Amino acid sequence: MTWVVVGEEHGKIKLVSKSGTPGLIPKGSYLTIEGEKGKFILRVDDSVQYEPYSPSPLIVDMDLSPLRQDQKCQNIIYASRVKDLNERDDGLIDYILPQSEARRSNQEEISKAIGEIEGEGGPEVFLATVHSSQSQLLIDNEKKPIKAKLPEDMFFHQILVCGKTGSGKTAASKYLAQYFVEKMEGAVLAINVKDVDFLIMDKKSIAKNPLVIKEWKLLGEEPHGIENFTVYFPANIDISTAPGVTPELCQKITMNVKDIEPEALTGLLRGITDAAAQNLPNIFRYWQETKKKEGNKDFTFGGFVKYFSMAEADGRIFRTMNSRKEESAEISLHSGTFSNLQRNLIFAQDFFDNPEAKSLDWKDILYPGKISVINVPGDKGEEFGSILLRHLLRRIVQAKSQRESNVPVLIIIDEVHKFYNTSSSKEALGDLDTISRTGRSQKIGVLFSSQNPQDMPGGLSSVINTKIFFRTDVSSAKSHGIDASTVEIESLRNGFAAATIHNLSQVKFIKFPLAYAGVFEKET
Amino acid sequence: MDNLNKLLFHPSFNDTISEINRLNIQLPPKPSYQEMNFQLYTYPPDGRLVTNVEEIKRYVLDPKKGDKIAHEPTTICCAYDESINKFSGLEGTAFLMSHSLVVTRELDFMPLNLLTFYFYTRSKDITNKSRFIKYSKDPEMDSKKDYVNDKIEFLTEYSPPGSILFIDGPLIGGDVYTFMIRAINKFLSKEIIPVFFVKNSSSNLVTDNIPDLLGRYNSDMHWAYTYLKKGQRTNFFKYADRNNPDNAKIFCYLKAFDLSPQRVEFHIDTFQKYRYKIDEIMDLIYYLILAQGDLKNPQVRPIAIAEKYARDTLRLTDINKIAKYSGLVPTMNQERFGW
Repeated sequence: MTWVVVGEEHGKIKLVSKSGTPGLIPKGSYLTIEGEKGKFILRVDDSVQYEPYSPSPLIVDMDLSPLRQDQKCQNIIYASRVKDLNERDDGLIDYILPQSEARRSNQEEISKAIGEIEGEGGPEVFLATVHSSQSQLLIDNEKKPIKAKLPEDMFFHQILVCGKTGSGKTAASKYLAQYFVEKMEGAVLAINVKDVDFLIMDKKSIAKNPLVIKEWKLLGEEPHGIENFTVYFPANIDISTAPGVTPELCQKITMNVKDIEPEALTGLLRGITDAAAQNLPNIFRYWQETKKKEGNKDFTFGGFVKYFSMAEADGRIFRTMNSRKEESAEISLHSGTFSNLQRNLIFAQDFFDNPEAKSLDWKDILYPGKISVINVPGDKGEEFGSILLRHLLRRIVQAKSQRESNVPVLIIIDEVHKFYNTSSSKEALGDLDTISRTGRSQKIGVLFSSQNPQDMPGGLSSVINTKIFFRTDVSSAKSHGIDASTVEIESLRNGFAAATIHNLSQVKFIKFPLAYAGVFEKET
Repeated sequence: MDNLNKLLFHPSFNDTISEINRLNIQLPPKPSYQEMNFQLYTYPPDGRLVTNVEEIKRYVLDPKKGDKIAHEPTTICCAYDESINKFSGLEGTAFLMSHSLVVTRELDFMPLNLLTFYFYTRSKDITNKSRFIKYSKDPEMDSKKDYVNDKIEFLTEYSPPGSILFIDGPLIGGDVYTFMIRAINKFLSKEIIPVFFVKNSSSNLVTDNIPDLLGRYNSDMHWAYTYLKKGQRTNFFKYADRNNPDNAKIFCYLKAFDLSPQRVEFHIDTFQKYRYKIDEIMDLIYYLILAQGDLKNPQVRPIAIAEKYARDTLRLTDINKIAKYSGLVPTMNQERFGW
């Protein structure tokens, strides 16, 4: 298969297929032109059919068969020049000579063209394209799919994965998580909010589709479960009947009122302003520190709820303590705010101080090669998850900043809007915002997963550097900078995604292999 | 077939350009498109009409049969057309000609083009300085002779054996009559069936010789247009040499659309050798005209493709660029009309 350079038009190289090229090369494919002094790599931006003999429709109208020769088609291509693999020292750029021949690029050439750094690792995906409303893998002349390594650094610049149910969003998150623990010896903390999505990662995936198995072979991998895997779940929720979950790997958890980070309580709050929400941690901290000072070892969250409720009689005036543990001014809560907080605190009593359950801390999470999943399904689970997530994030950030652990950590938050209000300010996002801005130096990454990217808290989307959109709402994908048409995004098959990848600017469409763990493909 | 898909240059092509450069002859910036008119070169040169080849009547053509023949693997169609540019300068006249042969292969039209370039002058001073500059008192006529010679040489050399060769233009007589006869013999020896097409002719071969038609029509084309319906042809007529009846052409008129008909000509030897296939070939021709489908350019499809290649190769060959630094002074007309 060969294409011939016609010339340059409006900044794009125009090529036409030579006889014997049996079809259209899809958009997004890469072509190599071998010049005298080096190679040029082009990316196909537009690929159309051209009929050189423009036959008349008259013949078909008359019920006569057309001349086969008249049915000849050629492929006209407009391509962008993405990489010149040659060396010049005069500061000029080589011409691409008309009549030069181009062929499909091979894996090595494409890796250079898209900016992969030789010798560096990264989760491998397949390069893909959407052409004529069909998503497909890009392949080379040997019919082998073209792979690309996503840079490992991507994890620490925050990732957003979006897609409708069944589009491949969760499977991709699992694939990235598995790479993170197995190849980077990192730790993963995943918050599971529905079904058994992340609860069965100890089991190897089962694929029925031969293409999936072929992809695994191409990557030189076999399906396998995660060796170090624990599911944590609130003691007040029973998941023992969840299908496929290994009970031996499940641990009940609770929150300890003595250790809980006061800021974590903001996770309880819904429907009040950010400013009002900031009062609760300071009220709680004052109470918590006072109890500690008193040497009382048996205080419980129920005690705090009582303490809080009793203030109603005293005009809802509270003493407070700031995060530096300095007593600050007394505050008076508005009756509406007070009632709201009281209601939520009563609701949260169940989450705390269960003697049969474990209290989680960063040491349980920051363990090389371990995936920890906190299962928080349902309404009550979300409240629990909101507090625990804030608590753990703060603990992890503290541990990392105080150099108590150098284990890279990836935090996967599914449906982030269930834990943080979409309208949350940067202040309200607390440690999540800190991580998003300083994650690289401390090796902390966050992967946000959401069906609807508009659910993302506004303060976060600006610090997310890798955006992976599976089949989803088009307008929101475009608003996140995805350079793909409506038809292209709507045409994405399961596992295919439009993406902007940190440090891999030439990659537009990718296909994730099925995760090696925790995915059970249905019979097709 | 290995010879196809190429652009050939006549052996004297580069030498002629080099020589006009060396002699400081400049070509005008834009050439004029030249039609070769062989109206006065009828074949046979001294002919008279004989009508008895078939019963005089209308014959209905069957495009379905033509369709079937066109798609038979044993059918090889090829077609010829040419395109000519003329450069008129003070020192003489140059002709850049593109001879185009297209062969229909299973899935594609395979082209082969020959480019020739000649310079004619009445100046012996110039011709004495180079053997590649042609002396000519009548460049128009001499260019026609060179054209016919090259065309015949090209077609006899490169037309595939066993093919049906559609040629845009008439069987030519006149000064090149003997070349044509030699070519026909060579075609027949290679089992090639040459078929000639004439459009826009004002000749009266039929209307001047059939008493019933005499004086009633402006030309044969006028008569055929009135006489035929779409998808019909006339009977075949024989036009023979007065002295040698075996030296003749056989022709008919074919009306594909409600437009001026075309004259389809066979040399008598071709017609006699392939008489059994002539009806099939006429059906094939009708099908191929329908396949072309262009009412503005009604001709058999392969000729239309050959025409495209002829024009394109001519367009791609910028003779002025090649001879950029020569110093010919354009004639007044060329300057005035901006050729």
